[in-house]
Amino acid sequence: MAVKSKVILLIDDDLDMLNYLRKLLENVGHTIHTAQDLKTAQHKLTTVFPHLVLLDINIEDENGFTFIDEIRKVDPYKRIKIIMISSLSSKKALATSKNYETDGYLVKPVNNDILLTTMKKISPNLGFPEANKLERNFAGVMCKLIGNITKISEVKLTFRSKVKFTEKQKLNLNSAFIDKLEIDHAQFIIQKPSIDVSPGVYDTEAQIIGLNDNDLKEIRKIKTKKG
Amino acid sequence: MKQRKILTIDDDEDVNNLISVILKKNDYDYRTCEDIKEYFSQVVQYQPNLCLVDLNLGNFEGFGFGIIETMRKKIGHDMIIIVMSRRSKPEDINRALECGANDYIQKPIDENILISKLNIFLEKNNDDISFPDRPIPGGDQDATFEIPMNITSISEKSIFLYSRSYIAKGSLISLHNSFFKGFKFGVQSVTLNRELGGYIIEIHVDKEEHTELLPEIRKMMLQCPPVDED
Repeated sequence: MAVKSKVILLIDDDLDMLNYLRKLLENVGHTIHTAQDLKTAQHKLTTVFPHLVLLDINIEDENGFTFIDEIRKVDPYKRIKIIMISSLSSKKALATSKNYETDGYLVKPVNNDILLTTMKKISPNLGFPEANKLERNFAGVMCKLIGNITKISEVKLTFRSKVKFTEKQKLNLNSAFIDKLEIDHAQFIIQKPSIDVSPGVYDTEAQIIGLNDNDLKEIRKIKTKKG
Repeated sequence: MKQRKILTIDDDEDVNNLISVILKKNDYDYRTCEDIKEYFSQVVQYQPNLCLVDLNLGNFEGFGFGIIETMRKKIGHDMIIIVMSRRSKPEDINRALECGANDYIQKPIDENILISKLNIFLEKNNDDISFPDRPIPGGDQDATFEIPMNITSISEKSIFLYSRSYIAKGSLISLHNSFFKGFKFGVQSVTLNRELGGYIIEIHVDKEEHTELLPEIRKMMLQCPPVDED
């Protein structure tokens, strides 16, 4: 049965347990990261951002619980699922786990079947909701595309690309040829909408501004006709 | 059709005369002046579409680039201002553009360059005057350009971006900001968004190609507040 691969962080100071869990979960198709202490766990948490954390609450003198607070710091809306693993089926551990509002509880020694059943139950809920409201500085992005500058004159150039421009705008344009002519200080302004050449291909005219007489000389060196 | 009223300010009478001759020959309406005070009063009275401004007016405190800044403050950003100067260093030209000039012409003024620029700025198509296009050899044509976009939604499978310009499906794009650092994507779909007046571009996240991006995407998804459910 195909399983959507999820990213899981295993935290346990017992290396054998880690290897056991890792093998089992990798066989099911998931990507596994491990940590044997809380410092490493913290590092992995903030570089990997896993969908699910399997946390040994007995780690570092029963301080596994404190790691849950660390998870919530990067996950304020509680989307990372947490399954606690304990070597005590003590009422105290169970009660504390209820206070912490996690998604499951396993008792060592962990049984294959119980682990797989737990995973089956939780798998549909692993994953985060689509992000629609992004912070300003992440939402803004520059999109770079390639084009061909096909012709140039003393006042404008034409380039061919897969973008159809419809608004007047300043264009950030770079090319080795522009550098060669040493007119890279010039600015390019699109004044007119692009023209359709063929489906998905458009010719755009850009006005060249800020050229001095030397620049014009360089452009005039380019032949106007073939041969 | 746009009107063609040109106002020139230059403290050199000969320059004003030369420009007047050129403009008259090319059917432009024009006025000239020699000092800044007269200039501002003419802007109000004559209401030109475009101004030709000598960058080196002599009788103005803080002359040079300050003139353009002052002009922008007083007359706004709709007016087209072309500066004229013997100064030709790229740094000087760019500074003039940064101060608010729309373009620059080096002195002594070349008639054809002047008229070509006026035609473009005032949207008059005059193929008699326009300079011949020079074809660029195939090997030299490669160029890159940038357009700004905004990410509207992101998940581990796909990313949607808003663009004011249409980008054809199948285009190869690379995205740049502190987060994307140049990752490449293919445009999967393009949808018109009438509400925003632009297009929604869809790109897919590839597990192999974008491995380094996935943890960053997850981080962003975790920090995003939930959408209110009705």
